[in-house]
Amino acid sequence: MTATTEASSDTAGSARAPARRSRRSRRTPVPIGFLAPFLVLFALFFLIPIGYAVYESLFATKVSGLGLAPPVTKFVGLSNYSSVFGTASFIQGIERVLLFGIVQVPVMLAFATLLALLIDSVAARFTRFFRLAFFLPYGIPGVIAAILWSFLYLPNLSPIDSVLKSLHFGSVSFLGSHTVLWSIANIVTWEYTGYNMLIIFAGLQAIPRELFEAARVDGASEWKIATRVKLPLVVPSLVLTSVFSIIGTLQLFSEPQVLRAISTNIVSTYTPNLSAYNEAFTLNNPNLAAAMAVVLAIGTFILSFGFLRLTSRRSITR
Amino acid sequence: MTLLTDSDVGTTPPPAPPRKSPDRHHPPTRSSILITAFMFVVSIYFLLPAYWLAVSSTKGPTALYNSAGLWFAHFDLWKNLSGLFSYSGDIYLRWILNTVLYAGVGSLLATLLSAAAGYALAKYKFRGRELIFGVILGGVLVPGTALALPLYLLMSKVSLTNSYWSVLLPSIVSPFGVYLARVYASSAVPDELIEAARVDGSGEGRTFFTISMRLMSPALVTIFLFQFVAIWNNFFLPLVMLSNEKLYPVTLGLYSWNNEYGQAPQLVSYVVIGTAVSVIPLIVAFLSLQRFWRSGLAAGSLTL
Amino acid sequence: MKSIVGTDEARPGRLRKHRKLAVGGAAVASVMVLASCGSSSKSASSTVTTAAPSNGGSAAPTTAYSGPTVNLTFWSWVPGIQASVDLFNQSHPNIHVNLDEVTSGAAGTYSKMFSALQAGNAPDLGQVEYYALPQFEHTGGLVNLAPYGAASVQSDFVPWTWSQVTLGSAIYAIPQDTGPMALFYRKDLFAKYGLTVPTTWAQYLADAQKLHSENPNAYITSFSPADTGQFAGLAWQAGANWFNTTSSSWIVNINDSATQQVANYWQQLLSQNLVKVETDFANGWYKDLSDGTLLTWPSAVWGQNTIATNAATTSGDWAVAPLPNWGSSSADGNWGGSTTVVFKDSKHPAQAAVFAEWLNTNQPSITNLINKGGLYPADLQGEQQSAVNSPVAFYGNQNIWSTFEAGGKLVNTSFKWGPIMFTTLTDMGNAFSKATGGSGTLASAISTTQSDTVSTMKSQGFSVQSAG
Repeated sequence: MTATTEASSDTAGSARAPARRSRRSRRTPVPIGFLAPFLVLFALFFLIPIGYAVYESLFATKVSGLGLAPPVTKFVGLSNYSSVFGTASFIQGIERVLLFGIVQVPVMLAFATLLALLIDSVAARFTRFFRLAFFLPYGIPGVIAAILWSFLYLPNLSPIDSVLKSLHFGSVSFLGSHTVLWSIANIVTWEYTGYNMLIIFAGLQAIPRELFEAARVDGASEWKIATRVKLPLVVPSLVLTSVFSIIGTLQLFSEPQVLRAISTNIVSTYTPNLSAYNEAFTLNNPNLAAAMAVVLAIGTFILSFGFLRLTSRRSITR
Repeated sequence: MTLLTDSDVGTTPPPAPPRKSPDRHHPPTRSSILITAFMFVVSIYFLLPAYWLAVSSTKGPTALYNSAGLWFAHFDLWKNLSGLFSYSGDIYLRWILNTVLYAGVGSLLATLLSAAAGYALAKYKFRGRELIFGVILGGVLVPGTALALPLYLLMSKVSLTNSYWSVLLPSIVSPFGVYLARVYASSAVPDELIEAARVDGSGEGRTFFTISMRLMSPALVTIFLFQFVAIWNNFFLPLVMLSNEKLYPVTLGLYSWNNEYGQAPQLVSYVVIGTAVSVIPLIVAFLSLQRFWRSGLAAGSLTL
Repeated sequence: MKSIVGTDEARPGRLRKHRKLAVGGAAVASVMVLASCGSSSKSASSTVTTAAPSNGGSAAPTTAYSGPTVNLTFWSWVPGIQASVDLFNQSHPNIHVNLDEVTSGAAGTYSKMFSALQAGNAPDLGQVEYYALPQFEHTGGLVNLAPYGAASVQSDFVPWTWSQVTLGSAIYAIPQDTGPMALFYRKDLFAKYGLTVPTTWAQYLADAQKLHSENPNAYITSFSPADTGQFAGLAWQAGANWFNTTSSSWIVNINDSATQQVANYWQQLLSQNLVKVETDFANGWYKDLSDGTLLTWPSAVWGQNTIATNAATTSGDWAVAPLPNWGSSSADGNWGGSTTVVFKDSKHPAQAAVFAEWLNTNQPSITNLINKGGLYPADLQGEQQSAVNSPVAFYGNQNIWSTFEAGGKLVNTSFKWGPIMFTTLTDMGNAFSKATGGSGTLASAISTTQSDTVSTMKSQGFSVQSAG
């Protein structure tokens, strides 16, 4: 690590050319030229929108009487937030994605871990083919994957349905009021298992082989090596994949939005994100939508950050 | 935030190269047959939709509904292809080109910006460095869809919605890219090298572009791939921003067709073949670049 | 994106077909333009586009404008409307209309219009559906066209459309097209199952029961919970009056007896498993329309193209009858249709009004909107044009149009939409979805919609009286 110290007066906002020669001093120049392009855009497209969403969420447009006069925009404090939390359908949407996340994320990650361990195991054959096969769905964007699966779910068209029927399993409704959430979960699992597997597999590959050899010499079975040696060492990878999955789950949008076209059981408030989108673009209520976006962002931040804290306390001793 | 900072990246090994296992030459044992069989079953799950897509691409709308889903019927692939590229003008081709613009140019610029910022955060000590890094990392945890709504409201104030810029500009900001670049730069670019370049009179910018970027190139490929997928996957932003279909990326275009089947019965075949045509080059690219995924992911996960 | 209301423009089945024909169609259309305007038309240039006389319609509301050239912006999503705009620009040298092709209203254009109105940079003119008009009116977004001679075109239009665009003496839009409803039915399958063409809803129920006992896999029709436009049309027919105003406040009455009657009726069909619950305008639904799973479709005039396009193999099997009625009354409902409005930010409202009136009353323009846009005109003279008044081969050479034309005259003129219709209809669709998914009934969904609408209106500051 660089050990050079800096004079604090030099950092105070003076825009410095990045290519400035610094032979004359032992100070490292402030790399404003390297940082500025990113930081300016980061401010424009991350910080300002967040601030603006918070700002917008504190206002509401109000009419009076029959509403024939133009509406006025009023400061309403936190009342949009109390509306958001007072809207049963929004709360139901949150509960739905939480249920989804509690079931889908562990299932997917367990599946991904199992596949990574199997591919990494000495007994596996054709590992290159399997890796490619499992990873392939990740190359398909969520919305297209959802369109693709919607063909496979459609009662009239579904080859899965016709295969099940011909095997006398009876007809399965993928789009029913109790099944459609899990049909969405299946799409997400299909898309991201291979990706998560690859992260975990990368973690496994980075472990020094000598560790396993030592365990093998000690007579440990492959199963023991996998669960006792390998698994604990890929915990950081699992933490990363969990955080990304949590963020993804709370943002759930394209899959239900696509399936809405064919299922009568996905309401316009099915997920918090659908609610916010609908509020802004169908119901013309950008202030309430902004409050929903803020709630969603804070919720995501708390959950993912909280998860990181929780796991770091367990696995990383400082 | 502390656990995300790179206080210990100095000890991070550069990503391991793919390793050839010497164990794979044993004769098959019972467990290896079992494991392999299990993985074959699993790969059917992952490949079946792709197989269905390939088969269905060759069917016209009538055959799509009325033939067995998993086997070929009347072969209409060429008809579907020519229909796909001529429907409603050459709109499909345009969507593909738009996607190349958004994802290709967007991720290229994002890589450059992230590399510069990550490099600066890794190789220069200045006041506020950790604060800046912390804020950027916080950005990783902010859901993109929560940003899209206020971004839309802001852009409509300056009449930028429904333009290429409205999708392209937000796409070139990648906090995760900065994170990866910083992690990689701090271990792959030796301070001595930068110092030596300084002594030789090389400007900071020249050092970055000629020496450091080259050393960081594996990470840059990873950042590029990550951002490419992120943009190509981002459905919400174009959905919110764009109303002119000539500006759509292919994802939004296919989505809009998927909701317009009534306009023309053959549209359902175009959605199927359009899906196939749009994902094939990407799948090929992804699979062939898998090595970079793994190395980048290893670098990212191990340092968390 | 799916429209929340059965808007004709948002309806699949009417749009791209025409766009596809655009190249060949341009020549055809210009021939029709020539043919349909007998008076002095002159070629503007050597191209196929043809200048039309400035007043092809019966009324001549628009005085010629001869000041400095005025540029107007017009947002519309009707396919092929550019040709009408071109005709206007050629015949009105001092007014130039620029068309912005946008996605259909509920697919995001309305919210764009609202944010533009808020920012003060809305276009001069826009396409707005009937159900959405009050939301624009009651946020002060529209220009009253009465001072610009709009009253003179009143007699050109189907009566109910005029009451939709007026509020007291103010005129907030010019009607463009309509969606009078009727019953599409499979006459071959009606004969096969021995069903009689129903004239009342009671007979329709009897047919549904008979059909289901003959063939449990066939249904009288489908029910699409999110498609509240169809339900609204049926309630409209039954005499519903969801919204009304006093001098100072709104009366909300979504839960009225007519609506409850319709809700209970469809609940009965649902409970007896006589209708198939599925999303309309989707693949599975088109397949059911083609293969005899669905025997009827209570729908609007534009539905003729939906069936002809998506169930092409059933050519000659379908026919159209008037919508079944409640008892002895004969009324019709409407599903879809839209108008042309002038937004408050327009700096040239008079010239914009000239365009809005011309676009929807000029016969060559209407011919173009019928042929390329697939619209069924609100203009009475337009309804007599041969493209919408002659036998249709797909329907066994029945002149289906006369049924719709007659129906349009029976649409209740006092039905009003409310000021937060997007919310009302979305709430209703969500509540219907829950009902068909097994929790609650359509009737309870209606009363939920009533109370949600009232509380949302109150929270936005409207003065509301709940009649339910």
